Formats: sequence, C-alpha cells, structure tokens
Amino acid sequence: MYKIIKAEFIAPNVKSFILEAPHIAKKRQAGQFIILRVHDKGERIPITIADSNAEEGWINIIVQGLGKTSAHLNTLETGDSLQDLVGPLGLPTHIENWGTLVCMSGGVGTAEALPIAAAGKAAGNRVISIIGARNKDLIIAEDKMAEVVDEVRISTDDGSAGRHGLVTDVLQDLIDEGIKPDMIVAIGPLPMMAAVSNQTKEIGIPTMVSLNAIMVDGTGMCGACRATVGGKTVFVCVDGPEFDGHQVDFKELGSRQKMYKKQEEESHKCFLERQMKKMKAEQMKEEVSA
Amino acid sequence: MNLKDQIRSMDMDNIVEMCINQEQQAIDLYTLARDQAKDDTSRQKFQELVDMETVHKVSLKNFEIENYLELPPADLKITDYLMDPVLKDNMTIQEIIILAAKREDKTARMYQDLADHFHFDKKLNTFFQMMADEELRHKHDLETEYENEFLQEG
Amino acid sequence: MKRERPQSFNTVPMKERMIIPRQDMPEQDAGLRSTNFLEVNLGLRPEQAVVEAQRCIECKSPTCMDGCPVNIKIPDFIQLICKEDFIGAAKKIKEDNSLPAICGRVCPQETQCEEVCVMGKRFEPVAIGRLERFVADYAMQHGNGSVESFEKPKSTGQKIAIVGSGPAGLAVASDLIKEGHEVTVFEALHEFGGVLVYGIPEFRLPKSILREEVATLEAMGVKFVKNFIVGRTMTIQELMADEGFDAVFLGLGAGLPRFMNIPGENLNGVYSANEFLTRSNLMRGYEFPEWDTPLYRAKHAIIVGGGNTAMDAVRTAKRLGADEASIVYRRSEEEMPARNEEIHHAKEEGVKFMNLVNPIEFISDDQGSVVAAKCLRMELGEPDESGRRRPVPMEGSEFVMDVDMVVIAVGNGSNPLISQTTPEIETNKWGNIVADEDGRTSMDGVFAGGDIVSGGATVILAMGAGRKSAIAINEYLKAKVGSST
Repeated sequence: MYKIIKAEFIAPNVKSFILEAPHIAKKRQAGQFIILRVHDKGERIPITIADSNAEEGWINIIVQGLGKTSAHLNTLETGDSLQDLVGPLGLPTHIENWGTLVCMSGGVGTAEALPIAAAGKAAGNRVISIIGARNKDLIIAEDKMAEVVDEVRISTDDGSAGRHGLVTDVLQDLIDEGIKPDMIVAIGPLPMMAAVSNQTKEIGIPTMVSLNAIMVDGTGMCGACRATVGGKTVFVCVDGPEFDGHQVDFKELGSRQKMYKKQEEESHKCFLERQMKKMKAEQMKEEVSA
Repeated sequence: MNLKDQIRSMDMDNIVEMCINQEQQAIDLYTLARDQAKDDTSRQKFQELVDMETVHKVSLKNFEIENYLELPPADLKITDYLMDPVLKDNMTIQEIIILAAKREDKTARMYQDLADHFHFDKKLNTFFQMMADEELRHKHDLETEYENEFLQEG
Repeated sequence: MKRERPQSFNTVPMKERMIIPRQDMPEQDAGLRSTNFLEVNLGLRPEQAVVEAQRCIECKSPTCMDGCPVNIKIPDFIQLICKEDFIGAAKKIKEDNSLPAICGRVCPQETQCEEVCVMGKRFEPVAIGRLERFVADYAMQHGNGSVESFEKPKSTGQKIAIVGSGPAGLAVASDLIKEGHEVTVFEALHEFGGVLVYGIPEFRLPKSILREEVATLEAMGVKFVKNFIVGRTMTIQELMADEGFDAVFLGLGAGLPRFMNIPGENLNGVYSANEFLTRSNLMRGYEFPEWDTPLYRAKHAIIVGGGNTAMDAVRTAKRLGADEASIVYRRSEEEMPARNEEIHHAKEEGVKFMNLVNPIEFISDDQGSVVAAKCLRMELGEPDESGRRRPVPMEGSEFVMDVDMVVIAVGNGSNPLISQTTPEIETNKWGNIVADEDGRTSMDGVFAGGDIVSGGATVILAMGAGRKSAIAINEYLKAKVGSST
C-alpha cells in the first residue's frame, strides 16, 4: 500500500513523487492536499497534491526537504512505500472565468499553482504565471506551467534568471504595462503571500492565497491549523486551504507556524547526523570491499 | 457623550425613535440569522426572537407591555467577557448566540438608563424598567442555551 | 417477565459478606506514576476478585443491571467469579458488552451500576467495574476462547460499512459479524479506536488492549480500512451505489473542538484538548524525539474544563514535567462532571484544582506565545429553575497568573464533514445527526449512533447505541433480502 511509483529530484532538495493512490486520484480536485506519514513513529504532515491521474490511479506531490519529516521523505526512492497516506483533504479551489488570472508562486508553490492555473485556463481565463525563486536552480515546473498558461514571467532574488527581484516586482511591471488582473492566486511561503496580499489590497485586486498551517489530523478535529481570517477563527484543513488574502492575519499565522521550531530543528539535526553516520558507514564498507 | 447625557438633551420623540431603532436592528439581525440557519430548529428559534423584538417595537408606540415576564435570576454574564463575533454570512451558531446575547445586554442597559432617567414619571419608569427586564430575560435564555451546548464541561 | 436468578456459587454466609471490606485496587504509587505513562490501575489479583465477588448479597431484585446502560447480567457474572470460572464470567459479560476490558476501565460505574448497588446503601458498593476489568483482562491473557469457538455463520452476502472505529462502530461490527454479514470498518486516522486511541491516555487505557480487541474482530472476519475519510475519499452515496454496501452505520463521534471565544485563544501554547491529547496519545508526543510529533512540555499548564477530558489533559501535562498543572473550572468541585476516581487520582498526582475560576483572556509575549492568563473568580448565585446554583462572575475579581500552556477542554461538538457532503442526512442546529432510538437517520439504509447523535457522552452509551443500531440494521437487511426475492 501507498507505494512510490516514481521518485526523482527536480531541484536541489526538492523531490517529486508519484504515489499509487487510486481512491485519492479519483476524487482529487485542484487545491486539495493529502496527509502522510513516512514511518511508523512519524508525524502527520500535509502536502498539496500537484497533479493526479484518475485512470492510472496516481497522485503527484512535490516535497522540499526543509524539516525532519520532509527530509526523511526525500530519502525514499522509487519502489519504497509510505507508512500512511490519506486524502483528498481541504476544499477544492473555487475557479471561475474572471477574465485575467495571474498565478503568483514561489518555490514549491509553483507545483501547487500549476493545477489551479490549468483549471483557470480551462474556465476561459487569460492566465499569466509569475514564478519566483531564490536562484535559477530553484525554479521548478516552469516548462509544465508554460504548457498550460498564456505567459510565464520569472523573477529570481539573485537575478540569475528572469527579472532580478521578487514576484511583487513582476506584478508591478505587469500593471505598469497596462495589464489589469481580475484575480490573483498567490501560493508560496507565507511572507510571499503576505507581501502579495498587501500589494494587491492597496491596488484593489482580489487575491486568493493557499495557507500552510501545522496540522495533526487534517479533518477539523483538533484545531492545530486554526488561523484568523476576517476576524474569525477558521480551520485551514476544512475551511481552506484557500482564503481571501486581504482578510488573512498573516502575522498570527506566521507565529503559529513557528510553534515547534526548536523541537523541529532538534529533530532535523538528529536526523541529519544519523544520515551522515549512515553515509560514512556505507562509504567505509565500500572502501574496505574495494 | 454617554447615553445618560444624550437622553437629557433628547425629547420624547427622539427617545422613542432611538428605542425603535435599537429594536429594529435586533429584528434585522435575527432575520439575517434565521435566513442563514441551516436547519429548522434554529430557524424557528430566530423567528421567535424576531417576534419578541417586534412586540417590543409595538409596545414602544404605546408605552405598554403585554404579558410581562418576571425579573430573571441573576445575570449570568457568560457572554460579557467573550469576543464580539464579526457579523458575516458564515457565522457559526455559537457566534450568533454570543452576538444576540451581547445585543440583549446592550439594549437592557439602554432601557435601564431610560428607566433611571424617568425616575420622576411612574408610568415611564415602570415601562422602561419592564423593557430592561425583558431584555435581560432574553439574554438569560440565550446564555443558558449557550452554556448547555458550548460549555458542557466548562 | 421475571428474570431467573443465577445459580449461586457464593459459599460465604450472608452476614459475613457485609463485613468484607471493598477490595483496594492495586495502583502505581502516585509520586512514581506522575512521571510515566504506564497504567495507573494495576488490576485486582484473582484472590481479590473472588473476595470482592463474594461481597455480592445476591439481591432478589437486583438494581445493578438497570444501572448499566447495556444491562450486563451483573449478578450472573459475579457468581461465575465466585466459582472461579473467570473465562465464563467474561463470556457472560460479552453477551451484552463486547468491550469489557475497555469499559471496565473507563465506565463511570460510580454513577451507573455501582450507584444503585444495594450494598452501597449501607456499605461500599460491590466493585462491579473492577470485576469486569479483571475477568476481561484474564480472558485476554488466557486465550480469549471466543475466537476459537466462533463459527462464522453462513454469509448473508450483505455488506455493511461502518464509518468510525470508535466504541459505537466497534460494537456494531462485533454484533453484525456474528450475523454473517460482510463488515468493513472505515477509519479516517491511521490507527483504530477513535476516541479510545486518540482521546484517552495510555495511563488509563493501554493501547495494547485496543489492538487486541481489533485483532479479535479481524480474526472473526471484520475488515478494517484505515486512512479512509468517508465524505472525502468516498462519499456515502458512492459507498452504497458503487461499492455495493447495503447499509451504513455512522459512528463519527464528537470530533469538533469547542473554543471559548476569548482574546488570545489562537496564541502558541493554547491547545484544544483534542489536539493536545491526540499529539500525546495517538502520536506519542511524550516520546519525542524518538517519535516525530512534537508536543510542548509546559512548566505551568492550565486546563480549562471539568470533565474526564480535562482530567486526562491535566494529568498528561503533569507527566510531561509541569511544575504546576492546574484545572481551572468555572463551577465548584462537586459539580465537575469528571469521574471521582479521575479527580482523586489527579489530586494524588499533584494536580491543583482552581474551582470557581474562569479565564477571560490569554496574554502573549512578543513572539505570539501565551505567557499569562487573566481570570475572574466566580461565585454561586441564585438557584435556577432546576434548583442548581449558577456560577456568576465576581466583578473586580480579575487576577493574572503565569502560564505557558493552556488546554481548552470545555466539550466537543459534532464534526460537520459528513453532513456537509451528504445533505440527505438531517442534522439538528448543533450539527448532531438526527436519528431515532434505533439509529435510523433520514437517509435510507444509513444509521448513526454515539456522540454524533447525542453530543459528547460516554464510551458505554456509544456502545449501547451501537448495539441497538446493529439490531435495527440486521432487521433492515433481512427486509431488503425479503423484498428482492
């Protein structure tokens, strides 16, 4: 069960997994996520579904190894199995024909924005994709995005590809060129979504963001993922993950995301040390047998 | 300027208008909640509240109350310390009850201020005192319902 | 119809029975146990069990059975203990209660069977719960007997889907597998047991017991499917139309955490009881970092609430190393809905009780974490219509106390996932599924029982509801076959 049909790195520390999941693939709609566990003492973590195929019975997730669990996940290879996998969770993205849709994404967020961009195009929108990354190596899914949207614009923090700057700079460029987006979808790290929301609030463009929150069960049972949107407490796992960016209390969510930072760093450090020891032991074995 | 000071500078017509507005706001709030309610029982509940407040509106015109209920037991103050829910189309029933109870409390205090102001006029004093008590009764009923459902073990 | 009295195996003369003291339950020492998650109650020894059983005075009209929500044949199983036929006693209990090892541990016997025990009028009631636990554990350890002797009846060819592997679902599974139906239990989480696995701590209910019970059911032919969320992975309509399930039982539980709506409730360190307990019990957060899920170990923890959930949370916080772990409850201690045994154990473990206190705000540091709680003192006001004195805030009694963790345990509501995806199922204004006394919902072929219908209640009531529904489901299925032939 929960077999990894294909695992491959698509950028440094970023791995793409095709998972055997016929039920999830059948029901999944853009914007939804899964929760998985890597091993029998593992924690439950949410990951957005980037792609799926109902006939072939698989789903695709893109994982950046920033924490212990994601780093551990990224050591798994084609043919391995996950401990647990459940979904599809969350409400599907609401898509309509707004006119001009701009999908702004950073890092792994681009893989998550891809199905929304595709659905937006299918609904009749003119779709422009703005992809931001720290440097050119960390740009992911650019080609796939180019296949489904009308235009792709890139920005990198260090200027190694596309415009030197942030996605918010690119959006400003678009507006300066006379393009008026009717709807913006922003998916990426929290500070990026907050920056986009602030920018678009001032110029009055509706903006949807896809929130990442700490989760445990993912079905609305525990409240770990609560956030404040429009002055009201919501559960990201069942009321979201998409919300009106202008209503989200990003400050609160940002500090909630850091709740276990210390413990997670400790756990991640231990894991990396164990990996190093393993690698060294294997290296020595090879040297001895050579 | 607080309400007590405001009343001193108002004439009777203005006072009645102010009270009617207060009741109308409550009617509008409960009508909204009724229309959003997902099931029949809560729709009925909010309709009851709409009806009650409508009766108040009528009473204000005549300075008479029919079917006056007795002073309720001590104010439970359960919702006094809770956050004001934001009035939206996706409110939970927990939020609606808190909102309604806080409204009743605010309205009760308005009527109490009026009762105190008209201490010299027995008819008006009695009338506004009874209105205040009625609002407190509404608040008490709402808070009891709240306690039974949302504070079962709290 | 007058019930036949069970055969007596009690040789102790009646007069002497009444002076036998109630047998003490061996327990882990309080100082030691507040540092570990091992079970607190160690169980009666066989000699103790026999002596305790001999305290039963074999009333002509026993009231104990009526006190039990599932009417276990208490006088009968007690006599079998006197006979030292412990396996027989376990079988007798299982005629009415399929999970005695669990109920013997978590049932509030002091307000059920033991409350109405005639011995309790002048002396201590017979320790019925402890006896139930004893024989259930004994049967588990000495070969269950029930599985070997279970002959699966001829298959009816009819399929039941049970949604939720908590007490209600397990009870339905246990009854319907014996009727020859094909039973599949679907569970949203990655372990089976529902609230028994995520809500109740290891020190009250060891998970190994739960795994045994599930394994027994699997051996009898029940299929268990984890990581399957009915309403998302598949809807009820799809289960019935596409997967061929003839009936569905919903044992979804009260899985919606209630928050208080006071300022600061979203600060880091403020948990719902569900989250705190799930991190600890299901995800074994107390074994971090060997287990990956982190869990905050507070120095000063307050748990808001007075039920068993609050007791579980505060005793867990204590075990995680809190210097101070306190219950903050709006009402008096006498009014706390928690079991007396849990309150008693908590006190022994060093838990503080702050009664007639209510939090009104949680205060943050500059990082968004809770550092203090502002509270109000309460006083008991005039009695209401039922005669109960209501707690009322004392004006001007605000005080602030340092805390670094808060657990909100004021109750749970019904998780709306299924009702949102299945509009045919009628719910009331609180989100509970509307069902008749046998669990029939407004959707044909769909039954429901337990907390999802009643709101938060006990394990035994959920099981009782499950059993009643099982009878109705069985009749429904028979009628279905009859009408199609």
